[in-house]
This record gives sequence, structure tokens and C-alpha cells, in this order.
Amino acid sequence: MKIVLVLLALVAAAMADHHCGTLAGLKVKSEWGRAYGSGHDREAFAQAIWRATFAQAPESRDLFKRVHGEDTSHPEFIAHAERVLGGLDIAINTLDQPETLKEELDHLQHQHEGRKIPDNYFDAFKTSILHVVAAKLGRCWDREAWDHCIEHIEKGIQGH
Amino acid sequence: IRQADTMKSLRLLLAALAVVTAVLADHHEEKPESHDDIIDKLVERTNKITSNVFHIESLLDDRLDEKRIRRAGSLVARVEALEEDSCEDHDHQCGGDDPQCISELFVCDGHKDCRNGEDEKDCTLPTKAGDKFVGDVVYDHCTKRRPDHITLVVESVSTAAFFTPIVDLHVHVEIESETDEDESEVSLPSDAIYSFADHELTVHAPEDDGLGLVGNFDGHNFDRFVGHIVHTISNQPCAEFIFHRK
Repeated sequence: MKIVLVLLALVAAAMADHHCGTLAGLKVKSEWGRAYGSGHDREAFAQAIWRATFAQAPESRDLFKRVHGEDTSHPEFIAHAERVLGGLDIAINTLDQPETLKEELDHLQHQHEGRKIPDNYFDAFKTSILHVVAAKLGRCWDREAWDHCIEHIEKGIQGH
Repeated sequence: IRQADTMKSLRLLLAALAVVTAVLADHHEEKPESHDDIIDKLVERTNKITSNVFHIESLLDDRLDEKRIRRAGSLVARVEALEEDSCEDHDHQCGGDDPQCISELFVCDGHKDCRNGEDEKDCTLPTKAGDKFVGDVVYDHCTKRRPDHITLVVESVSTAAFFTPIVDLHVHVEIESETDEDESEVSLPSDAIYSFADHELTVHAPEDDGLGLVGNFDGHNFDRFVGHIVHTISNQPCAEFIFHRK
């Protein structure tokens, strides 16, 4: 009996760990607030994420020809990078309001569909976010929570 | 007077002797020298010149000595640490004759961001697997064991190829402590990160007391760093240790 209980507890813990729950959402929301920053800090944060993404998947630059993806310091690319983080900001800030979040993710999905974005580009983008956030926040941040919540947001944009 | 006269004549005699020797020597020189003699002289002169060149070279090396430059750099770093920060939080000063603030996230990322290229110049990691630093206590208001020394051992080092400004380390914090009753020894494993932008080593709290270690190198001397034990949540230092490489 005890073993069953322990097993159940483990299963419950594992399930809780694998999705972006309310607490995880709140954590990410507040930590994002610190990492996102403002002003030229924010510009650098966005650029660092994109540089790391392009370093992982160099071919993905081709998708960003229209916004000068060949040069991450180009004003048009900087504008694009900030726009992307703006969308992410809305998504993360509504992690505790599922209906609003759904609306935003549907909107973003609509903007991305038809661009033929491979799943591994989304993976690379998530990995970049995790690394740059770690660099920005240093100590206090919950990697697991970020992993699951960014995944949740990306799934919503990918539509699967 | 007599004595003085004798001395005078003696000197004259010596002078005469010297002249005679010189003449003789001259006479000798007029004779054709053997080839060996000429070569010997050339070799001797070459050696002399070589020795002079080496001497000048060593004088130049003294000026360019890396240790000397590093020592001076450490002094500059101490003065700069006393000054008010010239860049905002999360920014890095490119320094040199061309002050410029860039984001910490751009230092050592493989992309030149400083006009003077300073952000990509010193990107070799100062700590490698197996390195050991021993810290002596300066003050300690918070650790459980109140040790005199803490040893930090670097177990492994890994960098994500696509994001290089931060390096992940795995370390052991070794603490020996003595109380009236017994002696104890612990080795606490933990993860740490090293940031190139501020030469800072942050060891996450190895125990659930939330005490972490933040080590600051001066950016020139990587055999020594000032380590603060901090409350992870508030970032308030509560103990200080000066670490030296062993």
C-alpha cells in the first residue's frame, strides 16, 4: 500500500513537472520581468537571444531575409527582435490568464503559419532563451519552469 | 726627495717599457697573421656583439614582461573598483582609450561589439578542471561551520558553443572545521557559472541554507580572487574569504 502511495506521489510529481502550471507560470512571469529589462538593456537581451539562435541553426537566417537576418545589428533586425520579444512578453504576462493567453497564441500562430518553420528552430529559440536568461539572472531562476512554459507558448504558436 | 726621484725614474722606465712593448706588438702585427688568429678574433667580436644584443633584448623583455603588465593591470583594476561605475548595471566597460559601454551579454560571444574589440580579447577561461583555490577567512557572520579555510575545487567546465559569454562549471566546496568536540570534513558539490564580462564566479548554494559563493577576479591576476558568501535571495554578503590558486 505504502509503495503504491509513493508511486502515485512520484507520478503526480512527474506530471506536475511536465507542464506549465499556475505556480510555474507565475514564477516565469516574475523572472521574465527582471530578465526582459528595459531600454538598451532590452535591445541587447533580444539580440543575444537571436545570436544564440542563429549560432545553433544558421540556416534559419534565411527565414529573416525581409528583416536583414544576415546582420543582427541592422536596425531593421533589431526592430524585428524587439517585436518578437514584445509578443513573447504578452504571452508570458498572460500565463496566469489562460483565455487571454489562448487569444494571443492563436494570433501569433496565425502570423507564423505558412512560413514553414521547422520544429527544431523553435527548439533552438527556446534553448537560446534559457541560456540568455540564465546569464541575465545569474542565481534566482527556475530552469524547469521556464523550460515548460516557453514550450507551452511555442506549442501554441506552432499549433501542435 | 730621493725617494720621489726614484719613483719618477721608475715611472719613466715603466713608460719606456710600455712604448717598447707597443712597438714590439706593432711589429708583431705587421707580420702576416695566421688564418686561425683572424677567425678567432672574428668569433670573439661576434660573441661580444651577440652578448650585447641579448642584453638589450632582455632589457626590452623586462619592459614587456607579462607578469609586470599583469601586476600593473591589477593595480589599475583596484583603482577602477574604487571609482564610480562608468557603465550602468549589466553593462561592460570596453575601456582603453576609447570608453564605451556594451551589454554584458555581448562579452566573449564571438562577435566584436566594442569599437576597440576589447570584448573579444580575453576570452580564455581562467579556471580549468582540476584547479584548486584555497580561501582564508577575512570575516564570517553566517556559515554553519565557521571554518578558517574553504577550498574550491573545479571538477569540470563546459561552454555552450552557441552562447559563450557564460561558462558552466561543476565544483566542490571543501570545508574542514574543528569544534571543541570533533573535527569534521565536508565536500559539497555544486554548480557554478563564470561570466567573462565581470570576471565573476558564482557558485550556487550547495546546501539548503541558501548560502552561495561569489568570487571576483580583478581581470588581470587569475591566481587570486575575493570570495563573498552571500544569501542567494538577497545577494547580501555575510562572509569574506580571499582565495589563492594552489
